[in-house]
Amino acid sequence: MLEQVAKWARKRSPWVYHINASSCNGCDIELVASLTPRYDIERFGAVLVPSPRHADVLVVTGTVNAQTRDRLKRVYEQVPEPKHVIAVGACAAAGGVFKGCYNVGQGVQDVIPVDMFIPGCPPRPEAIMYGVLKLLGEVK
Amino acid sequence: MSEVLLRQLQKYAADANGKVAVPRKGEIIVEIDQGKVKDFISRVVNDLRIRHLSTMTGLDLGQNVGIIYHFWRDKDTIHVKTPVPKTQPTAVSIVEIIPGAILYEMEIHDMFGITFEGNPWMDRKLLLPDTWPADLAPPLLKSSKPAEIRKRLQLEVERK
Repeated sequence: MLEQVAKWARKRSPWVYHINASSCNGCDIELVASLTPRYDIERFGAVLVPSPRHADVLVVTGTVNAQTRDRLKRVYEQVPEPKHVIAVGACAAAGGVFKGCYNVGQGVQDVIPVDMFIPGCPPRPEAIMYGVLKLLGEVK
Repeated sequence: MSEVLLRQLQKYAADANGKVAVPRKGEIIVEIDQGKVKDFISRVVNDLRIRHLSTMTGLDLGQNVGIIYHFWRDKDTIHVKTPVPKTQPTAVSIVEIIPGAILYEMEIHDMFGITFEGNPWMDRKLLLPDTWPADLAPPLLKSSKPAEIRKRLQLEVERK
């Protein structure tokens, strides 16, 4: 009973922590655009939190390189269970335009498990919202 | 372009056994030996009052690594080129003359493996990851192989 209430609450208000794993800021700007009044993802209860320890959903932007890889892993480990990861943008999905560079890996899923990929360079705010809501629909 | 400026630079370059070329209007290229470059830049900064160092560039020239100091005044750009041999990759730091050059020198140190004598931050990294192995060749030299570096940094992961 209590668990069901917790699930219901989690689904209605996912707390999002955004981490920039060496992004070019393009995806970050679109993420901010989806939070501001024009798209207003907060009407679905999603809110940005300043600490990963408060988060339900980890939003990762940017291509993962040798410097950010360990930090990304550390932040992921700080998020309490149950946790979900959304990889926003082409870089987070597979390395993007930086793939093949000397210190760039092949996306977030080599470091931490990912629940949802949102493609685009950068993805439109609608796409980010669609991804977040689709993920919420899958939370059961 | 100011004729006075060009004449002054030609004079300074002649004192330092350098060559001056003007490939197009407003662009002056001075080629100078590594040993004389600090004196030359000191004269450019202090006597000519050209204090704006836009940036510094590194360049793989095969036997040498080229360092280019890009100065800028009004409509003129002055590029001071100096070669550093790869067999002995040390250059003279200009941090005493232009303190802001410290980051540019760190970048060239990271990317081309050139040590600037007199730069107090030569032991730090600016752009390379903390886990960079010391024995790896600097990444922007043409001899370096990105796939090999990725393997050493454990960035190549087998996909299931």
